[in-house]
Amino acid sequence: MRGIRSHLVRFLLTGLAIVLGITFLAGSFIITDTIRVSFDDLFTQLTKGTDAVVQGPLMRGGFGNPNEQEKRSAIPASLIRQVRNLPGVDFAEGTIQSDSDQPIALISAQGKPIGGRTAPQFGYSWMPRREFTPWRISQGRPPQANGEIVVDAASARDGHLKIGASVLVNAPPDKAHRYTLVGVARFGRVDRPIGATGALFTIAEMQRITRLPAQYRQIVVHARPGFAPAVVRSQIANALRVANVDVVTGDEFRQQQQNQVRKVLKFVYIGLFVFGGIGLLVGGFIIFNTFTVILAQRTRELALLRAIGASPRQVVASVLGEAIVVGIVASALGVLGGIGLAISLRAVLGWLDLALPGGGLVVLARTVALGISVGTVVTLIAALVPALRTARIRPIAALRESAIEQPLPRASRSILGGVVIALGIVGVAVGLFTKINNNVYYAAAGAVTAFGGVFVISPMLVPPAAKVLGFFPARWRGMAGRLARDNAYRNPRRSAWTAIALTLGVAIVGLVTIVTASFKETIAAALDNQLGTTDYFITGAQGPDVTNKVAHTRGVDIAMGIGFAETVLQLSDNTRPSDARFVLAADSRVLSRFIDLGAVSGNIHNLANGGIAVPRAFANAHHLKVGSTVFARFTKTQLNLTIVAIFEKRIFDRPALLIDHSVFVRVADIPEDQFSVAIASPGTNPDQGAAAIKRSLRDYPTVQVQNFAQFKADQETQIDQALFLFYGLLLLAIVIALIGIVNTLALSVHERTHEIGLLRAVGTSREQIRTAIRWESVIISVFGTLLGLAIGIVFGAILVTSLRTQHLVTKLDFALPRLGLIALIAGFAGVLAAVIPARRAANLNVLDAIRTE
Amino acid sequence: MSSIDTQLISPMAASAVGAIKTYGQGETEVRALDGIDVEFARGRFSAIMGPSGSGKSTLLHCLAGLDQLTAGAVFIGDLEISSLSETQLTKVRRDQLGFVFQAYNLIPTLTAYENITLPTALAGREPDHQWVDRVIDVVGLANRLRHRPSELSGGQQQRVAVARALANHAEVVFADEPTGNLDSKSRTEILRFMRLAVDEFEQTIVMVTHDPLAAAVADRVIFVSDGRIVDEETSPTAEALLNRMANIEG
Repeated sequence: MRGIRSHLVRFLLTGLAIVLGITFLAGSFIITDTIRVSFDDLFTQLTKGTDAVVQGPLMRGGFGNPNEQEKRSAIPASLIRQVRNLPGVDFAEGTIQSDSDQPIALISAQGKPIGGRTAPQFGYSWMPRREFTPWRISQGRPPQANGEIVVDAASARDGHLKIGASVLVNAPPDKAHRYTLVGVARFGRVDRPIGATGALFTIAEMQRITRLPAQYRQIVVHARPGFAPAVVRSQIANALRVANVDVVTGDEFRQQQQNQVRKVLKFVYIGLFVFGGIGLLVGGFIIFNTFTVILAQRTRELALLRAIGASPRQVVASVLGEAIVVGIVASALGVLGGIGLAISLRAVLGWLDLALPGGGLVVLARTVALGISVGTVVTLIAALVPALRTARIRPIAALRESAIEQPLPRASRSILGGVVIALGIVGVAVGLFTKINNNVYYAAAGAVTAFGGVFVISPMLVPPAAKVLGFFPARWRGMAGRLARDNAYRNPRRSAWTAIALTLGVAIVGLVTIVTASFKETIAAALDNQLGTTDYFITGAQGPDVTNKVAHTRGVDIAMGIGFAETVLQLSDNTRPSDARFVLAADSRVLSRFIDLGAVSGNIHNLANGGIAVPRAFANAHHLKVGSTVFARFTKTQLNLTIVAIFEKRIFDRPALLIDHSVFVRVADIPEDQFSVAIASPGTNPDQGAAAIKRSLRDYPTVQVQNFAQFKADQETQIDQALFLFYGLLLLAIVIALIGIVNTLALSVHERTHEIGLLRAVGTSREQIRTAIRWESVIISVFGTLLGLAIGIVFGAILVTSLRTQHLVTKLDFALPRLGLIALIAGFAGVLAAVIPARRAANLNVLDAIRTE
Repeated sequence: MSSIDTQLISPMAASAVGAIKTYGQGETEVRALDGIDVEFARGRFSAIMGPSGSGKSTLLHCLAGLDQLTAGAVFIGDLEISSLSETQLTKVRRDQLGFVFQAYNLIPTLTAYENITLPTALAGREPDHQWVDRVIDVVGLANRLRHRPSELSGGQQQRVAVARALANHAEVVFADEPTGNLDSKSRTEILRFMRLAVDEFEQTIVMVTHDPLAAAVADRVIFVSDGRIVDEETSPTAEALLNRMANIEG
């Protein structure tokens, strides 16, 4: 205990690492819990007064994947008469919401979607009964005629929409329609739920928009007082027994909806926990390093304890006792920090217009207990190795100068580290290249193991690395630069373990950068190979009408819509090949003008009459010929398809299957094209051609017409946007790592107080002291970054190779310019990390510093 | 640089005029230096003696530009350093002064040779190789130059520290209990070397010590007690110094 009080500053610094790690972990828990409860609340609110629900049966089809979204058919609107006549039913209404696959976009006066291109955009039928909906009119009145619309309050504000205004709404595959704004609504207590824009129409208009004439998605029922929901459910089920419907109670319905949302959110959770885990791992390294440094500095004090008769066990116990106190206090602060982080994250979501619908933050007892215990245990484990090392201190060490320098670990260490790294890489390879169960876990465990190996050998890499990296400051900054270089490797273990947190963060950034760059390359190459003849890409509004209009535009020779689907094939020998799930749907009559299939057996044109075309390699591998039959499961249905053609080349560099639009509309629940492509007539000016297409599509305000280069750039931009979100999250881990560097530098400055005083006495200027510490920090940071990049490159290459065997990626791109930029940023971050320690060192009182031992 | 890089015309290498140094205020005020006037002649070995708390170390630190006077002035040659900025003082320390402290005088990451040439390296200059070689020869460390301080004995470390001061042509070497941490053999060695530096190279040395055997090597010894100079001895012997100290402390 006295140890803590007398080394308050050092323990504050140690504690900081734990506080940050736990902040990260607890913040992840709180945010995910808050999101989950918000969504649960959302559905409870949406269906508050709903006691029973009639819905369509689950669609046949799907792939049997537990994470798939359930799809249900619509039900005939006529059923509602029978439901209303039942004794237990007080009142009932039919309802339709748009699917997430069919965005219903409000178009601003500038022709852009309100809420942004990526925001979810939903349409709802207006429910007159308050019991069934959280939407409340805040201005105007509900929609009563088919040409009327009510929009959410945020959209009204952002789009400057006033009651009585004409609002353009884009609901593909139709062309845009104009509606009269008759009201503005709020969703419970917020302007719009989770950033999704809301448009409310009459039920008849929603039936038209969603192409469900005389149908509902659900019939919602409010029970007469005295009738339990279960009773009402059986009454309805009984009355509708000949109809093909599912009847559930309100609670069951809410449960189903929540399960669906949880499937989607599961990936958000996994993502946040991965980040939380990385944060904690980074924090753990910092704690470990700080304890190592602090105990090395206290060698004398601990040896003195031994000299006056304390047993090694007592010394270890006292160190671990301190670790427990630091761990508990810092973890508790970390949980508070996590609450702060969650509050700020939620505020950020609010600014991004993704306000969560629910009430307060959800801080479960589990979060607090887990945060404090994980933080304390991590602290204890991190303190254990250094503590055991102190037990070996001989009492005689008390009389010697405390050893600032530490010898390098023995060579046997590097062999051990090498073996561990090799084991880890084997684990990763097993996980990525074999099909054993739970292979993802093997890969993850392998990656962690390999990183452990790097941790073990990293001190060996410091002296050569510091000599190379230190060459520059030693050359440019004279004596200060040489001091920086020498200090960077005077204690290789400390420098390596200070950098390791940064190494981890940068390794992940590097890995992700390489994988995404490879994806970009793959897409670019696929476009070059297969759609190289295309002059115009039409995105943002798809469907046969759009393609038709484009085809009939002056200056356009030919146009085609392209749709994507996924399938699971079952062959006559009962095998299920996994290498051909991707299906391209197109117009088989003009397909060959856009896509180069190579040599074809059979006839592609026969696709128009049903059937499927497969690549040659696939056909050979599974002994298929023209005329063979395959059984195919699609999202909507499953059916037998005859192979009408076998083609030579791969489509988009994947073993893709090929069907005609006529089959597409039967098998996909929303048979929508991804985009349309067109070839210009000879002699057409490309810009004039694009303008002409734009004009003929003026009823589709969200449409974009791009040439080949623009489309390609656009695809890359979309990947980059996803990447930047990821970078943002990882930035937090890197900030923690930098605080670790600040921490160690501050401890080093403290430890070298006498030395700095001496340097100042013999004429080292303040600026030279600052320079020395700044460059030491830069050398350590750049070392950590380069090591991280090396790891990222190795694992990136392994991962991309694995993705190549699965045909998800065909190119490997190391994105060297971007990796170079990361190294540059890390060097600059090293400068930043040094600011405070350097200032402290430069401002030391020379005389006091010299008197310090 | 030129403003402080003065030609030293004064025969005095270092001097203090009316030097007063106080700590604390009012009731708790302590006068560490209580109006000291002192001059140290060029090319001489001077020692400052006094009991613990007499102010002898404070006097040395103020003379060396490591501490600031409350009142009065300090000169290195003709240059008044008590009015210089911290940056200017740093340059004076680097280019004109040398230091030997009680222990841990060397930078642990640098070799003995690098420690010796540290001030010139800090100034970004090439050392005067001939001169440095000669100093090293006299110090007798020629075969130890590539060693780091942790591989040198205490006495060798102190010799490197003195060599550092000599190698840089320091106007004055300030030594603060340079023998305090040494065994008797090393102590004799370093004292002989300091004496040699004065006799051979006309080096000016000002040394604080409480050890009469050490002070006896000097040309002149001044005695400090309660922040004042109370006595002076110009041909010191260890026995006479011991008696004087006994009188002062008694």
